[in-house]
Amino acid sequence: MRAEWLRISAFSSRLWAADTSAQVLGPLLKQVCAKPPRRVNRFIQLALLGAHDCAAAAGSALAPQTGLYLATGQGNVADTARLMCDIQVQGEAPMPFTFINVSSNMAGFYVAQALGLEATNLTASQQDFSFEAALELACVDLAEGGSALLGAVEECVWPLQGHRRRLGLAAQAVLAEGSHWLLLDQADPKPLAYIEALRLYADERQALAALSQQAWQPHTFFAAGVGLSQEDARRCMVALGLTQRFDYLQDGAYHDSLSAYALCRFMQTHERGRLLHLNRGRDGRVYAFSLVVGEPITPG
Amino acid sequence: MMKRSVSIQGRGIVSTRGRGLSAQLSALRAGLAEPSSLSLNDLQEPRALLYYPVTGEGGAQRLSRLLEAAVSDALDEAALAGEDLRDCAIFVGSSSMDVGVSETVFAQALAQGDEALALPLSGYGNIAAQVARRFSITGLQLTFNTACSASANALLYGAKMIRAGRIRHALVLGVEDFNRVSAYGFDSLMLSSTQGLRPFDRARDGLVLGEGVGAVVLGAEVGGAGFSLRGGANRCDTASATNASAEQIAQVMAQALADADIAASDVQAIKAHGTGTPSNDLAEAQGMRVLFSDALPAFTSIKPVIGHTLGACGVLEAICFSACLENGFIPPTGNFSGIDEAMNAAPLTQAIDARGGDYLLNFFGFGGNNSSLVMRYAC
Repeated sequence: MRAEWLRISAFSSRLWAADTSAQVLGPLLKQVCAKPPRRVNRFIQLALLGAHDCAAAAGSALAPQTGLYLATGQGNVADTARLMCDIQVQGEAPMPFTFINVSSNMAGFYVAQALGLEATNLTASQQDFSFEAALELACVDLAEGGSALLGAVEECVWPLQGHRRRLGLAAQAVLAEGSHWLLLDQADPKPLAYIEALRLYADERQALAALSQQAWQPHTFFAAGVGLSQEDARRCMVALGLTQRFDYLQDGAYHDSLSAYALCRFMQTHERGRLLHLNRGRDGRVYAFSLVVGEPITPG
Repeated sequence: MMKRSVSIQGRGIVSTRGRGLSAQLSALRAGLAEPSSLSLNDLQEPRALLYYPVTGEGGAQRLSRLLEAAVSDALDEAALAGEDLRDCAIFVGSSSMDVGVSETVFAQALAQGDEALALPLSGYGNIAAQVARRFSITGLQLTFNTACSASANALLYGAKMIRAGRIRHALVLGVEDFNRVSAYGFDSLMLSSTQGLRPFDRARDGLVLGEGVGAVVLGAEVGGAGFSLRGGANRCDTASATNASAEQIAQVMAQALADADIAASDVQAIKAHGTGTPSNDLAEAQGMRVLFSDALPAFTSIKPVIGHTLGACGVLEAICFSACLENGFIPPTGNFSGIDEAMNAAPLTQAIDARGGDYLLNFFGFGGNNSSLVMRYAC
């Protein structure tokens, strides 16, 4: 059977609104990692930063059989673009380490190496729903127990104007980089929170029809992903009888896989409470997941 | 309680050998096909690389046409339509995704003097989304980016999700489209062969890349003759990002057998990863020896026939291997001239008769990403 109740034992979240130049990550990595690997790219550094934060929050070494599920919508976009330029504009062959590191699962490799993880190691994606893709995979593997380290990592490419164009965003859009991580442990007797359910619907009508059958508790917060407008969010809240909004997009900074940030941000700001997160992809599909923080749940 | 098994209900393939299973068979029976010599003129000095291309017209729509052909054939064989098709989940495994298309668009923009943007088509989910749009599929779209084990992992998780009752059908794709980043990249690592693919041979000198698209439809097992995925495993070898270790290869194979609930002695033969690179073939052969000891089953590599299709090789080689089995043979490994004494193991050099039973399929990728699958053939 599929695990419907994922237990969150620890989490970490870093999000930076992108400035005119890239923040140097090396010194930050040295603060959390005794011996940072050499010759790694920014995407790998971002993954290592977040994963070390999460492992530190867990307070003890992770079990070697902990699976690693890395979500990314864009992956190693900076180095891939650079290699393409080197070859097609400069006429230069790729440098060996630069080429090896453009495989996005190298981030998962370095995280596994740093934290001593030997089990499943996947890098997964889904247009508009990359975090949910990794969550789907973890759900399947955790159905019979065990633990998983689940991360969502996105980097920017400077200059930002070209990256906005690449992502199809407006010239004024605020871009961000992020590294958000959860440690899921189905044996944790007192988890910080539960991910209560994860559901995909063909469209908003189906989603609201199914979700409105549930009796949402009055103090449940509603969070709308980047694919829903303010008007869409209001319509969904009315349909579901929800009155409280958790607006994690207030600062407007964007990267793919932002729903992972929503989840972490809610845990950072709420000692108790429930969250329903809904997002819509450009193809109209709708993903929903809910989170329960600080309340006991008895799986039914 | 015995686990539910998952059957392979449809297959479609476009490789260097052409479109469809029958187009692959004669070369598979011989274990060998000659690669092409590819002249590349992007760098300051021209390069000639061996390659297994899919022939036909180029352009930015080329990948779309390959996807169309492979997916249509798989869906037709599975007779997947209506609600079952709409709700089907898509699993894509690829190393380079649509980087080749991006390169073409970038080159056109450079030639036209436009404000050219490198990697204009970013995002790993594009191929799955494109297939979903074309075939009106509204289910899950999971894309795996785990280097050369990517589409093997897509098969593994497609089967897991069906077993878990999460989905009824999975359309699993292995996709590799020629691109300069991969071609020059492997060349820069000095992993490109100059003499052709010679997996497990004492004179092996590297890999020869290839391209292609494979599509497999998975569904809950209905019984009867055919192929099923009995289990599998994925593990991370953190010792080296680029060189597999024998011990870890033995472990992932053992874990796959345990997942399939079979013993090592049940394995009829092994479709090895067999890239032709000196270190990885050695590690794979030694890993097989660790697990099977003196009872090493027959093993072979598909790569001398279709090239190393990187992240697509999981699906493409599973399709090719299944085509061989249902035609009554286990394919040989071409270009083998002599045993490497360090590995003390030789692949099949002649096709042998195939019979029903369990087969082990190995796939290993950069980043220590090792996967093994157990496929059962019921004839």
